[in-house]
Amino acid sequence: MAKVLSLACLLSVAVVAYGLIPSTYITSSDKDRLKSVFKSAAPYADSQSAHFSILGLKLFGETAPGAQDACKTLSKIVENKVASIYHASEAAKALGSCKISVPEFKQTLTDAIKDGSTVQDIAFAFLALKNLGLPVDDAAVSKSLLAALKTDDSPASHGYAFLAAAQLKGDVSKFVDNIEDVVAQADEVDEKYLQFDGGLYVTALVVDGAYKLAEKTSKAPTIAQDKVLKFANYFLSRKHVHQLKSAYYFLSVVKTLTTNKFHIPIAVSLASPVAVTQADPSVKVRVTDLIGGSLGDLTVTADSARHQANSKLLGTAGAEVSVKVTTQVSVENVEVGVADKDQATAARTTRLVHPNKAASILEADYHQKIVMKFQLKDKTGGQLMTAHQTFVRLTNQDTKQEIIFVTESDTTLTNKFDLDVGANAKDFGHKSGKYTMELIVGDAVIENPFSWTVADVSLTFPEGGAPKKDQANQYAKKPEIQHKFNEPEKRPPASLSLAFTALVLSPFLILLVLWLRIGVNISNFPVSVSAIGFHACLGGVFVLYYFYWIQLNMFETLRYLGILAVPTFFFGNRLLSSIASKR
Amino acid sequence: MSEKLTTVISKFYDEYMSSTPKKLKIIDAYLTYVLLTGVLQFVYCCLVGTFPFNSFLSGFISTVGSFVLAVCLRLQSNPQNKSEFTGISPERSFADFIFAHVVLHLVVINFIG
Repeated sequence: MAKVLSLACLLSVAVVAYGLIPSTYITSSDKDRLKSVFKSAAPYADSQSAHFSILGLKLFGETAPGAQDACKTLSKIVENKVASIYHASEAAKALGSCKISVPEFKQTLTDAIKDGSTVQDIAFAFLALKNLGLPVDDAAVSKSLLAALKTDDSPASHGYAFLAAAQLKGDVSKFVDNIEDVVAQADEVDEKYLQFDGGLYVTALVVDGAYKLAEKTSKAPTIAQDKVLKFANYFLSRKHVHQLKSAYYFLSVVKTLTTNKFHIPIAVSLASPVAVTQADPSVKVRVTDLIGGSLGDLTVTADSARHQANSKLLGTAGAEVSVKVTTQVSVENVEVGVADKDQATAARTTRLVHPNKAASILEADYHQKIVMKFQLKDKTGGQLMTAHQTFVRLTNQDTKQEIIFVTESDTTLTNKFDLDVGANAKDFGHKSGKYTMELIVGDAVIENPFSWTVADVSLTFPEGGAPKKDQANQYAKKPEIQHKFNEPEKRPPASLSLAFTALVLSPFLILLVLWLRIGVNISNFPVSVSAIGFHACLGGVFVLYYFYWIQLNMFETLRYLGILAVPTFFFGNRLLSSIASKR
Repeated sequence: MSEKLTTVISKFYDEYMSSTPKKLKIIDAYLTYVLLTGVLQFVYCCLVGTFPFNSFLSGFISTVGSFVLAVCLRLQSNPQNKSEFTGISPERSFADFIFAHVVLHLVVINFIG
C-alpha cells in the first residue's frame, strides 16, 4: 500500500524498555477525578480516610480545605488503637501545625512493638511514634518486624515492613534483601502487567515501600527494569480507581515512580489524531513521565514503522504508538468482457475508465464467463495497492435481487473477477435477464471508497434448472406431523381363527365322552347349601375373571375377588370336610 | 413285531382299565383333554403365527399350568403314593388344586391383554 509509509521512532531515553513502555499517562482529567475522590472524603468519618484524603491532596500540591477544622476533627475521631493513631498522626503531620497528643497513646504504641504482633501493627506503631516525635527503640522494632515477617510473609506485610524500614535507623539490609523475593511473587498478566494478590492497594504498597527503602539506602532496588515497566503498566491500567485507600496508594506509588533516583518509567502516547492523512501527514508523539510531567530535553527518532493490517505501528526502542495512514485511490486499467468457458477463443474485453459505464450490454450465456480486471492505485504515491473490501455486485433489474461476489488480487496487485455463468446458475436462481454490474471498493485507510456501475450484463441460464424455492416458504406453516403407531401385523382370516377356536374347544367333548365311558357318578352330587354355594362361588370367580378381561382393572378385580373368596372358602371347607367325614 | 406291540398295548390297556381307581381315570381323562387343547394351540401358532403374542402365550400358559396342576392332583390322589403324602387327604389336595387354579387364571387373564 502506497501510503503505508515507514515511519518510526526511536526514543533515546535513559530507560531501556522492551515494547512495554506505557502508552498512557495520568492526564489532567485523571488528576481532577482523583482529586475529587480525595475531596469527597471530607468530612472525615475516621482517621484513616483523613489520612488518605489529606495526603492525597498534598501529593497534588493542594492543601485540604479547612486545615484547622480538619485538625480539630482529627483529635475527635482518633481512637486509642494503633492503626487509628497511625493514620491520625500521618494526617496531622501532613497538616503541619496540628498536634494530637493523648498521654495513653504512647503506651498503646509502645506495647504494640513486641514479638507476636502483626507486621502491620508494628509498622504502624513505629511510624506513629516517629510522627508524634516520641522516642523509639529502633533495634527492637527491627527485631520484631523480622520476627513477624517470618510468620506472615504476604506481599502486603512486606510492603508495610518496607515503609517502616525506610524510617529505621541502623542496619536495614535484611529488608532490602527481601525486595527481590517479594517482587518475584508478583503475578504476570498478558506479559504486560505485574500485580500482587490483593490488587492495586497491595501492589502499590509494595512498590512504593521498596522505592522508599531504596531511597534511604541510596541503592537501586533489585527490581528488573522490565518489571518496573510492567508494574507501571498495571498502575496506569487502574488509573480510574475510585476507592479512597487504593487511590491514595496508587497516587503515592506513581509519584514515587516519577521522583525516585533509580527508575523512572516513561509513557509514550500519541498526541496527534490516529488517522494520518495527506492533509495532515505528521505524527506527534508525547513522551512524559507517568503523571504527564516533562522529562527534560529528549530526542525522539522514528525508528521503523511496521505495517499491520491497515494501521501502522510506530516501533521504538520499546514504545509503540499506533497510527493509521489514510489515502485516496483511483481505479486503473479496468477491463471487462466475456470469454468462453474453455478459453478456446480470446476474451473480448472492453477498456473502461472510472466512472463511465460500458456503452454496450455484455451478453453471456451459460457456456461463457464474465471476466473483469482492474488495479487500484494510490493517488499520491502512484503505487498499486490492494483494498480490504472489493466486491462485484450483480443486481437483477426486474426483481432487484442482488448477488455479491468477492474479487481477488494476485501477486501483481491486479484484482480479478471471474464469473462462470453456468456454474453459478444456482446463485442466480436460474433467472435469466438483465443485471446491473457494480464494483464496490472500500477500506479503512481509503478516503474515497466508491461504488461504480461498470456495465449492464444480460445473462442466459440453462432452462429446467430447479426453480429456487420461495424464500417466504421458509417461514410458512409446515405440514402437520402425524404420529404413526406400529401397524398391527396382518391377522389371519377370521374363518381360520374361528375354526381353530372350535378345534381348541373340541377336546372338551372328548373329555365328556371319556368321563361318560369311565362312568362318572353325577348322581352322587351332594345336594347341600355348601355344595351349591361352593360351585356357584367358583363359577362367580371365573365370571369375575371374564369381566377383568373385558373391562375391570386389577384393583377392582382384586377387591371383588377378595369378597368372593370368603364364601368360596367357607363353602368349600364345609363341603370337603363333609365328604371327608362321609368316607 | 407289530403284533408284539399291539399285545403290549392291549395288555397295558387292560391292566389300566382294571387296576386303576375311577378317580384317577377321571383325572387322566382331564389330562388328555388339557394336553390335546395345548397341542391344538401350538399347532395354530405354528400354522398361523403368534401375532397377538400375549393371547397365545396366556392360553398356552393356561393349558400347561392346568396340566401341571392336574398331574400334582393325580400324584396326591393316587392311593399308591399314600406313604409319600401322609396327612394330606384327597379333599385337601383337591382344595389346593382349586386354589392354585384361581391364582393361575388370575395371572392368565391379566396377561391375556
